[in-house]
Amino acid sequence: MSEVKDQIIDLLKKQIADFKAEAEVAETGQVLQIKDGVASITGLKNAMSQEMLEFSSGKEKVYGVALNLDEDQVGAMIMGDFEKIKEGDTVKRTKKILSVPVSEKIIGRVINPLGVPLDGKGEIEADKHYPVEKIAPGVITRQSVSVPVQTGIKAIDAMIPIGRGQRELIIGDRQTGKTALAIDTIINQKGKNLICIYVAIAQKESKVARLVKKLEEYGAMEHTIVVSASSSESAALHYIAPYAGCAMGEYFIDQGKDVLVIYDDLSKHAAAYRQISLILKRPPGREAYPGDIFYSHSRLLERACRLNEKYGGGSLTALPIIETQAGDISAYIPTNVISITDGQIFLESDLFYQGIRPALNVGLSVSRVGSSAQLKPMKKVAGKMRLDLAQYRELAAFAQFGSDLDETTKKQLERGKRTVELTKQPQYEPVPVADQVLAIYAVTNGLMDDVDVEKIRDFEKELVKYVNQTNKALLEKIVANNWDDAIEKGLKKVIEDFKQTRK
Amino acid sequence: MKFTAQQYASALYANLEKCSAKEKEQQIISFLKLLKRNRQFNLSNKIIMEIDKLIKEKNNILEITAITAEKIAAKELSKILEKKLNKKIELEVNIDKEIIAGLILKINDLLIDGSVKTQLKLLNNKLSNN
Repeated sequence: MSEVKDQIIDLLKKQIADFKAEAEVAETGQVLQIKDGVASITGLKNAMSQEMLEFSSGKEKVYGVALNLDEDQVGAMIMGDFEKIKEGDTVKRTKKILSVPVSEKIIGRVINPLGVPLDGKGEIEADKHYPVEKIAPGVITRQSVSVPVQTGIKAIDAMIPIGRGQRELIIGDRQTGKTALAIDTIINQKGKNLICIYVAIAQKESKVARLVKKLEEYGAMEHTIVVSASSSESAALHYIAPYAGCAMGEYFIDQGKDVLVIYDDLSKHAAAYRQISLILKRPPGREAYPGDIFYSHSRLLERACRLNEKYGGGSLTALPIIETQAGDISAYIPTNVISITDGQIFLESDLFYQGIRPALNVGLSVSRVGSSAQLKPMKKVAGKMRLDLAQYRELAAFAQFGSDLDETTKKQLERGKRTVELTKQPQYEPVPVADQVLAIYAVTNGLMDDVDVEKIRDFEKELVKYVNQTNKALLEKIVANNWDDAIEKGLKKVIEDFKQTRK
Repeated sequence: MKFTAQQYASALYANLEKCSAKEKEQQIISFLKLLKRNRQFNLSNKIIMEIDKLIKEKNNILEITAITAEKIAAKELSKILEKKLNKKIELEVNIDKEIIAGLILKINDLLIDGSVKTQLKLLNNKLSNN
């Protein structure tokens, strides 16, 4: 024991002897004015844009970020408790760009945008620091999407497929299930080699707590990081949260891993940036947003990427969420983000109240690049589904006049009803891709036409159970991305067999 | 048009340099009238500070604040600094027991911190990081 003690003391002695006493040289400035989380500072002549500044007032240190570099003053937003900063306080340059601590150990944790743990599970040892703002990977480092993100939601995986490295916007009014969609996607990534980062921007603490509990319940926290800047935090933290979440994702991309980042939601991020910009006296533009609001979103979403093998082959998929007001997708921020992303999933409150959940508007939702990442069996099977639904909607509007319908129209209407019924799916119940293919094959090929509409969901459940028990090999072939006539025939046979058992 | 304190100060200073002692009074009066007309009289304090800076710069004078734990021989310190920096030094010495020992120098925006307090803090950081 004493030997160990001696060793420790020797080590300490050595470290103390190695310590060179050097005078610390720093460039300083003074706080001229402080208001609403934004400080004006004189001095700091050489401060860089986005540089961290250290406010030392009293005993606690508070950090800020230089945003405005004017002729004789610097405008900085303050991250954390700005009430302790007084006029005349000294501000030191740190000569560091704002960065966040990253390591393997942040997986499974709830942290704030600066990497401070919020879940009471102890300190997180940082492996490295990654800059919050980074220029997105360039053209030669990228390749097009080829691997799907299985959301586990039938309607999305079939009709609006998402590829790894894609940016797919989730847009809709309040209370239409935007977050639910994102959470289901996270839950479905269990064992699929996809690290999920959920960035909560200006969300209620209670909502984040409930969400974390649900994720833990479904064992999804093991591959998930929750970055939370709650409503009570300063606008500066809301503003950097998505960039910080993205920086954490970049740490895993650099190891060649696949990452999914959910920004919930970017409308609140835009509002936080608007607040900071207005206090910094930057001129307001449309809806009082600053001139660079588009750039602030485009540079964030551009960091989503699929790197080619030479550059590690990692990917970062972004699922930004935007909340619309009364279904208005032509407002400023929604149109901006729609134009940046590779497609959108549009959720409607009308559909939600009709009981179609997820309340997906199939007509307005698109995925511009995802189809190249879709599994071949799914592509073959679901191609007809979109068409079926489009025709159904047209006919349904027409059939409301109550006129007599011919046999084919009736049949199409019945098929459509069943397809819509099949897209309904309860929360927290993602469906494996092979089961999806099975069910969608059944409905698009008319094998469910003789099942009552009310019983579709039971039929589906039992069918999936039956096939999983009797013919698992067939489903495994589908998961392995195989599709030929033999598999198709096999599917048909299996479904007909099942129908026999029900009689 | 509104001007900044710096702009006023450098303009006034340049004018004053050119004129004789007699005209100076007249210059200042007309400058004050200009300030009044522009309704920027509230800047007067800042302008005085800026002029002060300009005069010191012109005369090669550097203002330095030193913070020490104990009373020191200020004259000797300023002599050393004068030699090092090759400038006339106006030294202000503040005493702060908190820094334990050593010296902190403030030269404009530059802060040179050689206090024992900071050294201990650095040592603490180093030991706790390893």
